[in-house]
Amino acid sequence: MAIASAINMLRETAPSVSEERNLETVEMTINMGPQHPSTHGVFRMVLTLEGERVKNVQSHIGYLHRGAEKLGESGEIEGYRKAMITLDRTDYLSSLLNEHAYVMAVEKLAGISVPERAEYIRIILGELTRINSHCMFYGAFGADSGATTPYMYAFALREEIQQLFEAVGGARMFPNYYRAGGLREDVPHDFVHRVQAIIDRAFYAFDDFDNLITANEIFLSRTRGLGILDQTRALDLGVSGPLLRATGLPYDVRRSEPYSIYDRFAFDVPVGTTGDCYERYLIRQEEMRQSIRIIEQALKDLPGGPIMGNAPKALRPPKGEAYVRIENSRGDFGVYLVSDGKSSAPYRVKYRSPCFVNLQSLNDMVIGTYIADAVVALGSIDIVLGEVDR
Amino acid sequence: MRGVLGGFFQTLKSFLTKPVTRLYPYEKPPLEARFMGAPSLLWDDAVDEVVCVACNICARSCPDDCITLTGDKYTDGKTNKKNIIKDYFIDLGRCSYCGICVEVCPFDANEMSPHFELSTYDRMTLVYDKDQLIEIGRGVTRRTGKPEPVGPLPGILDPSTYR
Amino acid sequence: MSNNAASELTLQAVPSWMPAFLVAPMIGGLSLADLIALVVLLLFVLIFVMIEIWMERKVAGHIQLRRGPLHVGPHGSLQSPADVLKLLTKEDLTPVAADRIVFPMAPYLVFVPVFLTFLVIPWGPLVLFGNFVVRPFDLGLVYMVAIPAMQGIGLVMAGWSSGNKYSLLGSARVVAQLISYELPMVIALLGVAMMAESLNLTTIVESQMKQGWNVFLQPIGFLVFFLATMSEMSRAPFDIAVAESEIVGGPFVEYSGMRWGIFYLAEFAAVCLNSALSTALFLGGWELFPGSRALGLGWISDQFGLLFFMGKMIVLVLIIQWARFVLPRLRIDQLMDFAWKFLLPAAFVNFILTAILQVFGFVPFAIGIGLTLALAAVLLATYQARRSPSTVALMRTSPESVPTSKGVGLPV
Ligand code: SF4
Ligand code: SF4
Repeated sequence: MAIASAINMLRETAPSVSEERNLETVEMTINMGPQHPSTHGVFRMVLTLEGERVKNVQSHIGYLHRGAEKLGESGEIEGYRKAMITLDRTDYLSSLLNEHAYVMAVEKLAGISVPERAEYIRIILGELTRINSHCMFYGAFGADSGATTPYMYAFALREEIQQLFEAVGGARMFPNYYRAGGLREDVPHDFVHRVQAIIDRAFYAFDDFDNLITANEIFLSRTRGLGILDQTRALDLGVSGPLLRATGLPYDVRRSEPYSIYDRFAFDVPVGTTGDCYERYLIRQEEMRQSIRIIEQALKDLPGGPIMGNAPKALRPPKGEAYVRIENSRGDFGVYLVSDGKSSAPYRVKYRSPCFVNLQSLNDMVIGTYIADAVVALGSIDIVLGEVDR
Repeated sequence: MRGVLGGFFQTLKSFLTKPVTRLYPYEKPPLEARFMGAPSLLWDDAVDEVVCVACNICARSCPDDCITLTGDKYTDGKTNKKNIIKDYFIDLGRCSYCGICVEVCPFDANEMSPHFELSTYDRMTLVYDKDQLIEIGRGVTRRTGKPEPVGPLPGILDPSTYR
Repeated sequence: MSNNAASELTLQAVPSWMPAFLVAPMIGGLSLADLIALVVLLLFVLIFVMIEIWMERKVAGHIQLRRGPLHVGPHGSLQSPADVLKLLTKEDLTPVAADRIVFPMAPYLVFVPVFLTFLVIPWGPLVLFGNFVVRPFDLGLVYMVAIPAMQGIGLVMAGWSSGNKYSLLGSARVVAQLISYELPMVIALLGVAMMAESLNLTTIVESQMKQGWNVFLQPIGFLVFFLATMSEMSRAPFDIAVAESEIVGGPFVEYSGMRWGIFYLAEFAAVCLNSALSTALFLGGWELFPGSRALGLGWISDQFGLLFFMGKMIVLVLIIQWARFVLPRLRIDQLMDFAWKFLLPAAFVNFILTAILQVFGFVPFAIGIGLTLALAAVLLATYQARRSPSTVALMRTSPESVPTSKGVGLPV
């Protein structure tokens, strides 16, 4: 009796064969970052996955927020000088380019002129910084797609450039070398020879870079056709830099609105046709070579003379505001300064960081691809979290 | 296929070239003459005392607020200083090695030294006091604000002089 | 075709000078000699893995313009023992979300199958000792396919029991990868079995000495087998299961200390194993060079065969390690495509070609090889042509054609 009822109970609870089975895949949410080897710092992506496919991506930023803009406004004395220290540390890969933008903004605000020699040196060092930063991209992008060797190749070249920065400005990454009106001090005597040695070496290094992965079939299949951003969408998002140029628009601030003395140099702006990850990679490779061209011309014409303009010792610009933009290694970088005319620190500091804007294109690139592609697409944006979060 | 083989060939080439690594703790890296290590206080050998006059400008200009100093009345009469430092602390854990304190000093009393080996188990040991700052500044000469020396280049510092 | 060849060579598993009590079967048919052989084999695997890790780090270092390990021992050669010591002293963490029973078991289930497969490898003779092989099974080939496949279970257990989504993804990838690469591998091995008319690994090596190395007779088979095993053991560029830039280590994410060390051991032991298998199956085992027997130099291989076997194995290990530092990682769909659209058809072609060789002789076989190569060339050419070449060429611009920021409606 008891056995029969137990069997009956089992019959009732067991799923009947005819019952509809729901075999849909379950979506999985996976948290990539802030501690993940290939989110370029502390970026966090919350990926919604269906199997290996990315259904949705949500970006979270702010883990590296240090209040660089507010810190820039907080100096009690020497405020204009202090702001540059924090600016250097936002985009730690293009520090000298950003310094250039900042001093140009201060010069515009205070009406300071810059001597020729200082301008040339700024161009040379700025382009070296661009190479430095693109080297880092090369390494990181290789690592994102699974090749470890590019990193070391890139760092061998970076080492030489940074050694030069140390010789010129005393520090390898944050030289804090530009000043409103010129430079902190003149370059060392052997500057020209050393730069020449670096660019001679760089050409071989670029060839090595190319031999290693540029034509590699696996690398091609991983990056080509991935993360396509079309031109209208790119413009809608406000994307700039290599990302925008890969869509076919030859927009480069150095060309479109020549600042400093960029109008004196002949260089090409590489553009892509489809706007995929591979073209972004190629564009950065080509930009390194174009930077070398610019450096060669600047070295040839490097004039003598003073390196400091008519800058007053204690900087106190008149009331007003200034916005300056440059092409840094990631795109259109802008510095906005407001002076209240009284204090020796800017009243308002605002940086327009290209990384932050470019990062918004992530959703367009990643949704519908595989997890592995999400990493590569993020790598192709070439973000620096210090600049995104500021 | 060509690209893959190119990669193999390239790595073979780099396998056979000399490594670029420097064996750091055994083999000191070449430091440039302008290398900015920790800020240090300069010693005036002529009168055998510290140059600093405790004017506090460096402390106020430091972007990281890592300099703390107290002054004292100067009574020795060897120079025409009014004050001399009693205590002078720099928190090297916070310092960003920017060189602003050196640039703003009106008395040429400090300079960035080549001292950079700061690894420690206790971050309080990174707060350097006056004596330590003088010690790391020994042999350092004031360079900032002075014209570049002509003639033979200062070149690369001798690694044995690091402290 | 090959049986009389084997008897001619008279290679024995058990040398005649061994005392009887050593070879007398004990519990479960295992003799004392078997147990000793097992211990020796285990020691060999452990030591070889250490050497291999050191080698890999050195290779990686020099490829990447670095120097690799330097400090412990001459040229860092004692780095691996030092690492083992470090791993032993590390805490074995079990995450809260992990399964208490399955989690600690998984590492052993990954290592044991790999180790068991070493039993059938014919290492070759060395002067007095006769032919080194722990168990010369007649079904060796089947055994060496079946046993390592169990590794997948261990990896799935590791991935599932960790309670981590990354490791779950990793183990899902492992399963997909193992299943799709098992097939071309087995079909490539059919060719080997057909050539030797045997499934015994020792006989396969001996038949290669007789009729030429398999790598020349079935190069496609070798390629397929080599690539498939590389993928089976999750080595770059097929390392999607561990993919540290995407899923940060796959099934091993949550492991630490010696448990993680065992995974590592299994991974490197698998590299050693697969190189050894490729050597035995395709590279003529312990023969010095192809055709040496015909030149009357067979005695060199018969006396020092073990050394040649090791040499070939190490060369293969080096190639596998080299590839890791050259190639980017494939994506999962590309990996599957590669297995099903390239390796599998290639394995079938190899199978058919070998059948032609065995049944019709060498001339039709040579014609078949030629036809295959031609077909491959045509396919490759069409593939190259289909890929749009335009993107590589970058448009150069002159200053005039550059839009200004106002022209394209960018924020000014
Ligand atoms: S170097 Fe810069 S951060 Fe360091 S103490 Fe001097 S001013 Fe402050
Ligand atoms: S170091 Fe220079 S600025 Fe600082 S307190 Fe001394 S004299 Fe003044």
